[in-house]
Amino acid sequence: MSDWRATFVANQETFVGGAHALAWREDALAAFEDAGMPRPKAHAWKHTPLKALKTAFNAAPVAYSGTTPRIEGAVNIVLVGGVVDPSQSDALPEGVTVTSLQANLSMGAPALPTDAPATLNAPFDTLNKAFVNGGTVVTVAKNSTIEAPIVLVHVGGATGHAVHVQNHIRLERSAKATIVELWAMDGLANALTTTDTADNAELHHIVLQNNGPEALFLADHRHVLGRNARVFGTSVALGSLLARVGVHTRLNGEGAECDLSGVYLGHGSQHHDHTLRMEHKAPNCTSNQRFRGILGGKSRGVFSSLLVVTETGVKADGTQDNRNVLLSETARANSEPMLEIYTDDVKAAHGSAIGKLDDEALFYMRARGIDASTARRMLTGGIAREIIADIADEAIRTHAETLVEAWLLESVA
Amino acid sequence: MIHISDLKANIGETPILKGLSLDIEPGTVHAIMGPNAAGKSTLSKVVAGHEDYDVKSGDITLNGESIMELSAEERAQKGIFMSFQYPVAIPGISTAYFVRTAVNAVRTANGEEEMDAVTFLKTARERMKWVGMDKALLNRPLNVGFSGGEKKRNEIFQLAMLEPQFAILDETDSGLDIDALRTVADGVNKMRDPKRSFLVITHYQRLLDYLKPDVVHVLVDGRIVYTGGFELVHTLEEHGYGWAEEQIKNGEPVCPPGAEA
Repeated sequence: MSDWRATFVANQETFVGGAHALAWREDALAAFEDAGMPRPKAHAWKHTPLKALKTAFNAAPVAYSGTTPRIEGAVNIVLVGGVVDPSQSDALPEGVTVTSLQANLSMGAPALPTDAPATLNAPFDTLNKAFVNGGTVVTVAKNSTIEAPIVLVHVGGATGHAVHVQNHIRLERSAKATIVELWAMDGLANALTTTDTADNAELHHIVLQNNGPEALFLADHRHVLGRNARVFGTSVALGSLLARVGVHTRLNGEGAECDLSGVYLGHGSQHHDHTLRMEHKAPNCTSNQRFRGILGGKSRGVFSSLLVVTETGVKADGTQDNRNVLLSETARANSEPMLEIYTDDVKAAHGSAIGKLDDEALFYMRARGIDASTARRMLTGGIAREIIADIADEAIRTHAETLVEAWLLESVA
Repeated sequence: MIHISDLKANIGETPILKGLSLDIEPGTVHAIMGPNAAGKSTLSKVVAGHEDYDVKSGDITLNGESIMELSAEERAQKGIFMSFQYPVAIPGISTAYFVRTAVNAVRTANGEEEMDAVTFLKTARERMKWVGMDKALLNRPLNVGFSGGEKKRNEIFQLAMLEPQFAILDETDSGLDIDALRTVADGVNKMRDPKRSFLVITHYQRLLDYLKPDVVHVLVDGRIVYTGGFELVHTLEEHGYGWAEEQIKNGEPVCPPGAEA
């Protein structure tokens, strides 16, 4: 019996959905066991060590007594250990519904959107399904524009314990909303997020990852876009010892546009991995990717992104741009923008760079009286701000800036 | 105010400054002219404290105190300013944030109170006018997408904000059209003060026509080979530097055409 099965058996009484849910949970666990842990050379994980996941994480729920972060000016929905806590959550504006995933689990396995792309985090998606104990279903009604950002605040967890959550976000036709995931958890957080942005809808999806320093974070993002749908995704990665964000996007309707950006800041022994697959499946779609790494100490950053234009994805326009700044001799970065194109008439551009802070820029600042460490912080902060500036909502942008400023003060000398 | 004695500096193994001496009194404007690769930009960078230059010997003092052991930021805090020939563009940092951080770093180092945001904005807008700089540039990332002229105006705007004791203008005129040159020169003239001195490094006479330097030096092959008054500017404009290089090669005393030996 695997360690994961042991904790499954030991805790199955506590699983949401009760006996009805055990069959599909069992199937998922069996699938995980069949697949086994990825081999060290497995392509999808070749830059990302999984040693920390070798032993199973306890599935038993843990008590939470921390201070929950909130974003002022936003609608905060608080999930403790994956479970929505209404007492800490704000009232929702008209046009949005957020239901706890738990209510759905007794009726069957969580449904993924039609045409949702596959996971990039296999086999941990099966683990997520086997153990899923919470999350949300967020629906924005058609033609609704939601001004206030909706923030899913994830707290709780503990070292040695795992929380497996799923957030399923759907924007109906011509809806517009900003949905934020704010992560401040400990232990293993294994999270699936699907977004389904219907025709003409516009989703701003921002992930502010500020988990505890020992946390492990597996984020499995899967976006599907309809005709003329727009998704603007920004990932700000600060916390966790090991964080893998796998983002698989399918441009499924003609004229869809997806811009993904991200900044990852690493110190100590942190490992930040953004693995992306952008699939142009419908004609006349546009995608842009802009990621920045700021890596100090012995940290490592991975940007591995495949832009795929299928036979039906004609007149695709795609860019990939990744730059990394290494703040120490021992920090490392892998930058791999890749293309796979099955049709003609495609515009694709990619750029990739790994370097250190610009000495001439540092001298320029010092020659104006700014001391060297402040100058370094300003320069690295400037790189992060280039990405954070993509966040359209002011309250969220300000919160992201505050998190980055605190990180810089702590990490850049 | 600034005293440079027998300064020798290398880039790598290559000697650039080969025993340069210079005295600049408070309230004066000095100009250095010289052919390409004479060491003009090296001199400005060595004074500003750039670490890529290897100073072999000599001394630079500001008000009698050596600055040789000071970092670039400490020199700036003591009132040394260099206007860059090629100002650096920094994405993600607005001009306002950068200049305000610099102003307050200098103030704090001198035991003065920080300038608050409102005073800063008011002062900045006024001094941008001195150099004809569009105030919209305050909120743009520093020098990113700025034209050559905007970058140079920004340099002199920073000079006006930092109010240094001693400012080096390193080829501030390059990349400026005639109108911009005049505005920038007017900005510099506004900053002239009995307690402040300037060292203007240039190839051309035009900027110097506006700034009217008190003293003009000829820099050839890492040394000041001749020093004269404002009239020297026109001699150099007319005759270039070939005569000086020739005289040095022949071991003759350096003496410009038309001057008394």
